[in-house]
Amino acid sequence: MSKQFQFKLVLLGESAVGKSSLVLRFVKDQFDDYRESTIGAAFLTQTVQLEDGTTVKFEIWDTAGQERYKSLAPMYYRSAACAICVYDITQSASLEKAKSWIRELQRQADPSIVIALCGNKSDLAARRQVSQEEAQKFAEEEGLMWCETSAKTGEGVNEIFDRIAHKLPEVAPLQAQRGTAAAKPAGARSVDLNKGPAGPGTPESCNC
Amino acid sequence: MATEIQAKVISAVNEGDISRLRELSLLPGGFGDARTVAWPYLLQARSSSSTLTPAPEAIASSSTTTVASTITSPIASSSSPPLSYDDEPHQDESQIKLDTDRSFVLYPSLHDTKKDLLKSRLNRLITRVLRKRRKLAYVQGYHDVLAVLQLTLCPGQEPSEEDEMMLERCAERISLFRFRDAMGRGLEPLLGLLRVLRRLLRLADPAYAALIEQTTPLPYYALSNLLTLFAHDVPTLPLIQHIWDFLLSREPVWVVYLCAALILERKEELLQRVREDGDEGVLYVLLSGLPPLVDSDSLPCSSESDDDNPPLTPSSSASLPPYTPGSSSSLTPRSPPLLLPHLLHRTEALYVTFPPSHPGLKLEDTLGPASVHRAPWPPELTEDEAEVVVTRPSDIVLSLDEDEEPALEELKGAPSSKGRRTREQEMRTLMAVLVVGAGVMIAIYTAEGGMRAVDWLGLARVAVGVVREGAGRLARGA
Repeated sequence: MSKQFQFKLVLLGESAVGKSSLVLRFVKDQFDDYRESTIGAAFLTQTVQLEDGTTVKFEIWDTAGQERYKSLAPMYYRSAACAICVYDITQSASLEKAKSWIRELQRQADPSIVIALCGNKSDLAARRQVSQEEAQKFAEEEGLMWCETSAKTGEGVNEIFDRIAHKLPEVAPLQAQRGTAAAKPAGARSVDLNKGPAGPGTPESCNC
Repeated sequence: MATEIQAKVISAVNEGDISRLRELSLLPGGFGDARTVAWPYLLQARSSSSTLTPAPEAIASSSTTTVASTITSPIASSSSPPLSYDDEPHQDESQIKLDTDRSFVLYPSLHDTKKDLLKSRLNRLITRVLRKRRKLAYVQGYHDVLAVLQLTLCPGQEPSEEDEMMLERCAERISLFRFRDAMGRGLEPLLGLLRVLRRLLRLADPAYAALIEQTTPLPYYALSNLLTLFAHDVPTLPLIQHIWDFLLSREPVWVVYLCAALILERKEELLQRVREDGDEGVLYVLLSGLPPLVDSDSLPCSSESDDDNPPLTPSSSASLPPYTPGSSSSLTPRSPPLLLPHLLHRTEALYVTFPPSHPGLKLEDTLGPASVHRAPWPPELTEDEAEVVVTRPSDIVLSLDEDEEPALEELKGAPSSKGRRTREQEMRTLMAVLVVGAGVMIAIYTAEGGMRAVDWLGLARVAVGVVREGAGRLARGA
């Protein structure tokens, strides 16, 4: 009897750091040199199978990066089990933006949310502005996962989702409790996009 | 045939006959190449007068053989100066650059013009408009809107100076009088419009609306269509051009009706997918993407049943791309194709049944008098006034804090001049909705021959919600 989990994941980060490209690589193993900007948010799903047979289905909310869409973000991260905050290693300002998202998540999101800090565009290391040491140090201090990825080459992409998929079931019992408690948040009717019968991190009963 | 329609379009422009233009916009192919005349006219780009008048340069429609020959000196009589170009950068130019650099992903290989050239022209166009109209803020999606104008009015390798000036005028006008609600500092006007859309769906099909709201309480999936007038997602240029023929010849609020008609039109498909997938996400994915749209211009007579081989979109124009599903809507290939003229007719019917003045829409409680979706059309404001309006968000959106109102509240309709409905009528409405809603839910959840535990939970939650809301209303009404 294998376990099945379903988790909501949200991608946050400055415009054009590669959020949609990361998702496209993870979900379809594709890459486009030019990917049109996201308006509002996009939704995709992908399932990961762990070694012990556990399956983890990600419901991925890929958000728009422009500052003015920021006010929509809480709706997407509110009941998320995990978040990937993406920066572009060739743009130091994008790391600052990722840090501000992390601070917001730490303040506003579910306290048990799993956060990964992800430096994308590692194929452009020649133009690097953010050192690995700097980002890694910040991640360690904040207790976050950290990685560098290249949506273009695929480097590191599956790994980070795998690491999250391994980590989530460990905190799942806690999340499941919260998911139940948060199933009817007061005043959240119009903004709760995580409404299915299976709350965040709620293990689905086995079909067998 | 195509040139005949174009002659009619040009003749309607000459006569200032908006209702005729509206009729023509419903036909397969819309205005065709004559939109290079019709759009500047509808956007009032040729002059800054506040009423739509026949284009001052007499267009000899009777002798028209090509549209190009009719656009002589398009801004010769313009009383508004061309955009002045202030060298001081607009605050949003770095974001604009990020977006124009990755623009023109749709419409692949449509033109010989190199993509890099199209991108730099688009960047220049946006920059010029915003440097002139500095109070307007850039929002992602605005670039999609101006890209459609650019590809329509200035598509060639080396556009004439006159064409470029006309493009800039049209871009300025569309920004000030169609798009400006979104060009203030925040998203609130758009959120207000989403609420109007939600109410329209509830009025048109309460049970279906309830099903959608169960997974997506506000229709965020329609955000990019509402914002960009469908420019962000419609996959081919001829299709978006036809949609704009329709929209530009009508008041800005029509985009809400088009969004709603599209959602209503897809009901069967969506119900079936929910049955098959039993997955909450599928609704958002389907609704945020578009079904394949076809303009019946290109179709054989039996097109509607030709599902196995969805016809592509070649029409009167010479160079048309094949239909390519939008990369952001990977599930849409499974959707049956939708005939655009049919959709536009349905939009008209929806508008007639639930006009903007319908009390159930609460348009005037939600959006302010300065919103383009409420303001008179053709616009009465001057361009300078329109620019200043975006700095007064409280005049554009009045209220968003009605989230807590019962989902069924609007079904009864607000007090109106036609008199208030009785409580008995309300009760009947409520019961009817309960029965229909439950019926739909049961039909959906039992179609596969069995219910899983989680489905019962979902059903129970909806039922509890409906009953609770009904009880609340009765309590208030008592």
